[in-house]
Amino acid sequence: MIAGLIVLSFIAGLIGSLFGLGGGIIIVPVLTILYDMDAKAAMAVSLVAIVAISTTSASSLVRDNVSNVRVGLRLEVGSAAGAVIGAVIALHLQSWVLVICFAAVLMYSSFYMFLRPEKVVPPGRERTEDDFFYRDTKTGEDVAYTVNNYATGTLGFVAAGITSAMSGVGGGTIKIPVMNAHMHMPMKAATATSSYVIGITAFSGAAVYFLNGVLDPYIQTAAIVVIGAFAGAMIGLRLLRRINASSMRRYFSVLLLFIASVMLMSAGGII
Amino acid sequence: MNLERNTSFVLRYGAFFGIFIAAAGLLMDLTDPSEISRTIMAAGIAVIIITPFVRLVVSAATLAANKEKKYAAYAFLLISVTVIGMVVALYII
Repeated sequence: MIAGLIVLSFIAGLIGSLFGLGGGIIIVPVLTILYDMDAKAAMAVSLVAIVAISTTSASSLVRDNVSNVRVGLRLEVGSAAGAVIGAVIALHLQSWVLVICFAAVLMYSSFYMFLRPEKVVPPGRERTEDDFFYRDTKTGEDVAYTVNNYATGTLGFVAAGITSAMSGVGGGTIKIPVMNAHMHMPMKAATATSSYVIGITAFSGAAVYFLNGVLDPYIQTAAIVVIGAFAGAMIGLRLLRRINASSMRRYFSVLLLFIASVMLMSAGGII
Repeated sequence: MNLERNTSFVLRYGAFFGIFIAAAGLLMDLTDPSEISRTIMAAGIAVIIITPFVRLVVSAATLAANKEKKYAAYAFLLISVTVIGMVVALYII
């Protein structure tokens, strides 16, 4: 059991830190199906793992200036508000309706990101507060970019918060396409910023479950998962330094398609 | 004050400290399970959970100290929405 949990959380940590995702889409189904854990407890363990993955990844990505803290803080307000709205909507709407809509959006984002080249807007002659840069460790070059479409991007984050609260997934899977395809942030900056912001989204859920004692019977499972996720995130960070940004975008779009398929099968009761 | 350095400092030490405590508790629990080993694991998990919130507070304080008013306002707004959301959730769940 312990070895299986470590492998599971290691994979979640690796994928999570590479692509700025939480890994809940991997952890929750495995814990409920293979380990016979009830859904609420699985969600609680998964949220703690997401916090661990986010904290480990962001500690390095923020220091290297790849995560954009300012843009992350600004957009995350929308996501946090969306989570509260989602919790209220969840009381009145069947979650499968939203899961199907969400899967459709993921599929669209997947094809869009796979087929269309990345658009990064370089800063103009006069520097503005929306101009940023980071150093790509793969190429050794500084990548300068201007963040566009804040208003609609924030709405995208509100939608991410709503779906996240209602379906338990959807943090990074919506936020990264919004930042990359819509707000024109380079792929590495978008995934790194996602790594930074998903921690705060997962924090509130994890803290509530922890304070309510949902984790108490599963504290050993949580400790194993956190340690595995930490190790996976450390390795993921090493890979991230070597990966090419355009390949990363393609891999991410394939991952989105996979996640959308899993969600549709889950909503249809196939898995 | 450097926003990235301060934020990264909290994240780095929060993650390592939390993992270290959780791992120590887990090791004790696997060799000799007791209430103490479970409490130590829970303490490690608690440190990991609280770290993103502490870094948010540190980011807000750094932005305020740097007089980056707009971003400081976003950070404080995010803290408020997060706390309100948590309080609401604590009563719902």
